[in-house]
Amino acid sequence: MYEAPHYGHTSNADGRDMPRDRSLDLLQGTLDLLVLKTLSWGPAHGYAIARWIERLTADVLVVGEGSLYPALHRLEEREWIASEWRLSEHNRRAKFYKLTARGRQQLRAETASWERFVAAVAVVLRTAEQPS
Amino acid sequence: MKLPSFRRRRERDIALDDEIRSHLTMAAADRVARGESPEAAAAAVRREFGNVTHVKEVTREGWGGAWLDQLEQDARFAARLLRRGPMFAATAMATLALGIGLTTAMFTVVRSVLLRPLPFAAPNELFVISHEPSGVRRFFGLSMADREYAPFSRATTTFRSTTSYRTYPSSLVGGAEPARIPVAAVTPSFFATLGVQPRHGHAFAIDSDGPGSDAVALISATLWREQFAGDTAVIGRSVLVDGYRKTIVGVMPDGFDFPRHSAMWVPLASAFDSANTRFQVVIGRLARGATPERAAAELRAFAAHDEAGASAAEREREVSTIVPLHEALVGDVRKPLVIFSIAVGLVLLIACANVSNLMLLRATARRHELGIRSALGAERGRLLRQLLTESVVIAVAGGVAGLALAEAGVRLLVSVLPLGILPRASEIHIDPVVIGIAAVACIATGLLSGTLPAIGASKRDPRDGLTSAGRVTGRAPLRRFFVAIETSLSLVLLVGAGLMIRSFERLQSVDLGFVPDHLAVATLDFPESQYRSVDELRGVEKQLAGALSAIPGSHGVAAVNWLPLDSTYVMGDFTLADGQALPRGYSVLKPCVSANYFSVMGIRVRDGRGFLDSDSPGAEQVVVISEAMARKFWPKGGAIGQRLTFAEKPGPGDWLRIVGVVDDVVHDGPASALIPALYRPIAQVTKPFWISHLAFVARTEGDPAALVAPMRKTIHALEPTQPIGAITTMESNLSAVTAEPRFRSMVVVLFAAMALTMAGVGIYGILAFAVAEQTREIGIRIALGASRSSIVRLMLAAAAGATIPGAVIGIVGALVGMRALSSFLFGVGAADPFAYAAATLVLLVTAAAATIGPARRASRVDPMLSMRIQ
Repeated sequence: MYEAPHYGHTSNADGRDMPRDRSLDLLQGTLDLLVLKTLSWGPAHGYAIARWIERLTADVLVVGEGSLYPALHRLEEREWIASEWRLSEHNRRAKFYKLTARGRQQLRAETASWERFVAAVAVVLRTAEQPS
Repeated sequence: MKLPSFRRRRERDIALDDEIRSHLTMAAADRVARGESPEAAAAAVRREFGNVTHVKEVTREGWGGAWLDQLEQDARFAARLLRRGPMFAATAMATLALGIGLTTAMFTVVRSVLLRPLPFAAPNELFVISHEPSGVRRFFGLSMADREYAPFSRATTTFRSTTSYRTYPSSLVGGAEPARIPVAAVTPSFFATLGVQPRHGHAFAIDSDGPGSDAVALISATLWREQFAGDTAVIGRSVLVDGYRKTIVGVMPDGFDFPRHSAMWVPLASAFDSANTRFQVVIGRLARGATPERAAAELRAFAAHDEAGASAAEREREVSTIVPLHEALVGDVRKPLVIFSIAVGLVLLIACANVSNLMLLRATARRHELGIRSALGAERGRLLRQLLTESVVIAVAGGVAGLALAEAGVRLLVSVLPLGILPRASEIHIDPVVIGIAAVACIATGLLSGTLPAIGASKRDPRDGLTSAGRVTGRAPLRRFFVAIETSLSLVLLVGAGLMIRSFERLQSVDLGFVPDHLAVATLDFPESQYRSVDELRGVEKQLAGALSAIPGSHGVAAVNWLPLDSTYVMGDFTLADGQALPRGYSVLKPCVSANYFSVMGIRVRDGRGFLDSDSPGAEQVVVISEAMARKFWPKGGAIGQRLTFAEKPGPGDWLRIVGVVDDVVHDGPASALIPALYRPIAQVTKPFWISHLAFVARTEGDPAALVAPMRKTIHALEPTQPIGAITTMESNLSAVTAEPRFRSMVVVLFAAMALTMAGVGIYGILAFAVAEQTREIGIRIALGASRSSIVRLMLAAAAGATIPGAVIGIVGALVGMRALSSFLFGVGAADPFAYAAATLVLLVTAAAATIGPARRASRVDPMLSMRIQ
């Protein structure tokens, strides 16, 4: 049986579960995963993260800033990522995020369940006949 | 969870701003690098990024304690809105401040007087023990005769310790200035029984029964400060109390003034023998392991033994009971306090209804804004919370003002309270518990007054606000409901006020039996220590009366030992020569008066004669009796010429002849029971006791208050040690006696006035708003030919629609509720139609007055203008 990743719920800081709209959650969860992955290569600021994702997915996934910053702050709140103010490559002050040890762990777990999820969906989609 | 501080949140806020700004700068820089103009790049970046405020808000929600953030936001928003609508805010806050202030003040009094335990050790063990004929109880309250107290206190096993006391006013000389002070004469076990120790010095020694041991006194902390400058060297100081030298041995702790606001305690030197029938209060402390039931049973057994010789009918009239001390002290005020509390609760409810109404009006006025906000995606819960926050902000602001008001209110209440109405008045103060409860009341009030309007407003369909600019929408039933509530509650209070005023009027018009106006009164004590013989006293009396009647403006000066309305009196029984037995417990006042007393006081002689100068010591002993006594024993007439005596074993010279019958005089105040009286001439009394306390009454034609100063001067010249301050007018004595009912009426009238004002504001509010809201509709009506008067009628009908159902409910409520008030009423029934009619009229007139302004505005609507407005 497929084991759902944490997408169905998000936990806020005080530990209450807040049910969310499903399609949005999937998106949000996916974005969290992508952000964690991006940061596994090294620290980056919000603008760079958005650019990287867009460039890597050949602009298929456009990261709306409206969801990026809430996601970054949410991940920071959960202590999966940490932040500090530094100078950017163009000598501008920017807030850089980096993966924490817990974040790295989370990335591994989420990657694994994402792959299982994709594989499971793929199996269903590739099956031609209705199983008896 | 940990509460992130506002400061930390603010820092995070600023950081988020920086972060977004740096994002926008970098994005714009990239675009410029690709060849776009800086302006176009900045605009494109903004567009791409979306609503910055929204992004920030969503981001912030991810932070811990988002609710706190929103609360702060709501509170700020509410404060901003309130600043923008200061009239609304002021009205709502003032209303709530009044409601909460009043409630807090009242609760403070109730808590201090009724709820907080007495300031004695283990107060639950203290009981008042009484064993008395029921007739006596009427005048003395719970009490016990000295001759029974002595054997009972020796025999009791259920009471660990007992004490007996009485109170009386005395003159004090030796402090800062001569003064008349309330003194309690207490048995030496008094302080040990109550479990109270002096703050300085020591209490009376328990075995200090020997002769001369009563030459000591304890003083209250208040007296200590007022008369002895709070100096601890007061211990050992000697003062004159009623002319007797006493040494101050101790100062009681702050606030201790039991019983009856006493300022000094002296040892009670009673002869507890079989001849002593003086009734005094007896307090006992239960022995360990004893129950009140067992103690009461013991008392009844004692009483049964004591009355072995009495007839069954006589025994029935005896009351033997024990009552918890707290109950005995506050029993009389519990009911008034509870009734006042209910009245205050009504005022608070009206205040809530009024604020609800205001909130509702405002929510309706803001429906456009709320519509836009919900169209922009504001959740209903968020709007609801916003509206509730607003009402709580109002309530908290009102509550803070209310608390300040309560502080002043309590001080006012304590200062206007006639001494003696409220036992424990000195203990009244606002404490943390009261503040805590006020805070809870405050928040609850905010939520209570905000909930209905908020639900109503947040339920709104977003299209409502956007499409129908100014179309009338149907929140009217809810508004009318609030006004009906206010109206009905106000009417209940108005009826209460009406009944109190009516009964106070009745009280004022009671025939006192004498003419109280144009009388000045000086009360003097002639202590036994200084005036040992009757002749000496009579000499002083003659001398003073002569000097006082020489004062210009004084038209006759009479003397009496115990003046009506002076709250002290001597009562006793007598034996009739014709053999009629007195009913058990029957006692009469025994005033001793100068020959001209009846004419100076204006007491009518109904039969026979008053006293004459010829009723001298050597002449036949005569008495004048009051109408009630004459009717009691000689209902068919024939009292004149009868003889009676005060002596237990009368000798031939002890018989007194009745020579006249006079009108009954109300001795204790207009509302109290009539006490029969038996007058004797001062010239014929034989014991100094009878005239060692004398009141001089001077009749004048002008203002009696003008006589006070010259009387004081004259008395001071003749009797320099007399305490100043005991000279006043009969009218002020009368108003002191009626202070309690006047105070009650005043309080209820005040509440009713507040309620009425709020109801008026409420009615005005809905109509003013209805007019503003329906301007276009009214304009159309007028354009279509409706007359101005029909518009006014329309408005009046709207007002009536809310007021009349409220009034009907109010009348029904009053009919039910006023029965609780009946024991306060004097000479009017709880269903007095006049009071109901007057209250309803006042309410309707107020409603009409509140309608006039809006109705006139409605009738002046310019149809052209009104349609162009929207």
